[in-house]
Amino acid sequence: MDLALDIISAVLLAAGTFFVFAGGVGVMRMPDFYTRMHAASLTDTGGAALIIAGLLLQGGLTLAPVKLLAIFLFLFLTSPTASYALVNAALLSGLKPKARNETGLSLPEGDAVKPAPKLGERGTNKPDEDIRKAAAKTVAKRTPAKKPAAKKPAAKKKAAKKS
Amino acid sequence: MMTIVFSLFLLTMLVLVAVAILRTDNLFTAVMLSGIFSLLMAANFFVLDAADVALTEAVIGAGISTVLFLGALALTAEKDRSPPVGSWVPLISASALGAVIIYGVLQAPRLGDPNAVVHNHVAPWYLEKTPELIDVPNVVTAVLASFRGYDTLGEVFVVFIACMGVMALLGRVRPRRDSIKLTEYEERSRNLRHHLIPRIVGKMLVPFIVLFGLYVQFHGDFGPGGGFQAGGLIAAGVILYSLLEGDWRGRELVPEWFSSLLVALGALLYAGVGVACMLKGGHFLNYSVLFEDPIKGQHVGILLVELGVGMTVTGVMITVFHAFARRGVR
Repeated sequence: MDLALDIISAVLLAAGTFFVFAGGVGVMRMPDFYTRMHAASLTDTGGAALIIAGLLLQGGLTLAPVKLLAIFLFLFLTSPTASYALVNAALLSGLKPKARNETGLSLPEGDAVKPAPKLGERGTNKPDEDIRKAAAKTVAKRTPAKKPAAKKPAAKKKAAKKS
Repeated sequence: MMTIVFSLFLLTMLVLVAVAILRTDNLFTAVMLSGIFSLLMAANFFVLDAADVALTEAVIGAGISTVLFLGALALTAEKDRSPPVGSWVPLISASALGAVIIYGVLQAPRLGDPNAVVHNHVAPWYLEKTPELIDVPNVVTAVLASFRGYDTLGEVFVVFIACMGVMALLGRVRPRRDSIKLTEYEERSRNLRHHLIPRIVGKMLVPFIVLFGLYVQFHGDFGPGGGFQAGGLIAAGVILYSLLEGDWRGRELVPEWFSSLLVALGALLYAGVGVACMLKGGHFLNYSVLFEDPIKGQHVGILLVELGVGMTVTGVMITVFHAFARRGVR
């Protein structure tokens, strides 16, 4: 029984190590940011999960496997999220994926990859206009339309409330 | 053997990261690298069996100070303005300082040397007397909160004063309305609400981070941890929430009056325990007199003092974060 557990855990650890190694090679060898992140997320999720599974079998009936399980859950949730957030940020900031034409893949042309709209630049991009319209609506909804002079103190009150 | 290989690897990485921090002129990269530096340092402390310090370094160094640096970065430019090249004075002074430090390190005892000065001064006494006088498994907590309670009180007040300094500089004063022409709605839309996946996963983690913080706070007598680490963790949970939902939601969750109150109350609680000891007829911060049974007195005293530390650190971290976040628009 113990021997079987040891063998399974050794296999899992070896597989995990292979995943981590492959991820490391991928990060070094892949051509652009997106493919590198693909390799790195392999290390993060697959490799870590296999290694923790291997360690779980070694833990025995103590508190350690429970803690390992908690770590596994944490990694399982956070590392794909982190990879996603990183790639999404790169895409929004306008980094284009490299793709060679002989492979049959084509680059997204034109505004397929747009830079992120910035809040600071007014009147230039649409999302900002939407925000302003919505802002006008909320202000109109919240301030009772009595006198135009009553608007200013109300706004001030809100500001005071927030701070 | 493995330990030494691992330490060598970590130290090599530390040097590489430090050189990378110096060489980059992008401040954002430098901030990220300094977070990695702190994490490597935490791993290094852990290899040296200093779990409490490792936890502090991971929470404060890699976690919160990275966020605070980013907050500061949002107020300034992203690129480093390089100093004029070709000045020999910095090179000479840095080389001289480096030579002195290396000379000093040569005199240091070997790793794990039982005859080293630090292992023969007061440390044996602490190790010997902790089970007898205080009876908590974690000697670090006993030393930090009881034997050297004065030092920790000083640290709490240093943190307290640092927070006062940040508040004095960045202040409670709202920036002038005309300098930030944002409507309420626009200000409220400054968050990650439109990034669905990070937001949901992040929000899911917040309660667990706070729970782990409370565990570290109240389990500090038995395992690694205590007020400083717990304060950092709880504040990290609140800061994560603020980053995801916008700092105004964060300020609704933990109002500024509350975080300021925590800062003051924590320091007051710590000093108050000391005064209570004096009123009971003992010395300042000598918890043994708090109850009939001196060991029970020590336990309660350490618990209260650590709670004070935790409250102050939580309050300071949240207050400083909000002080930066409120100015977040250039």
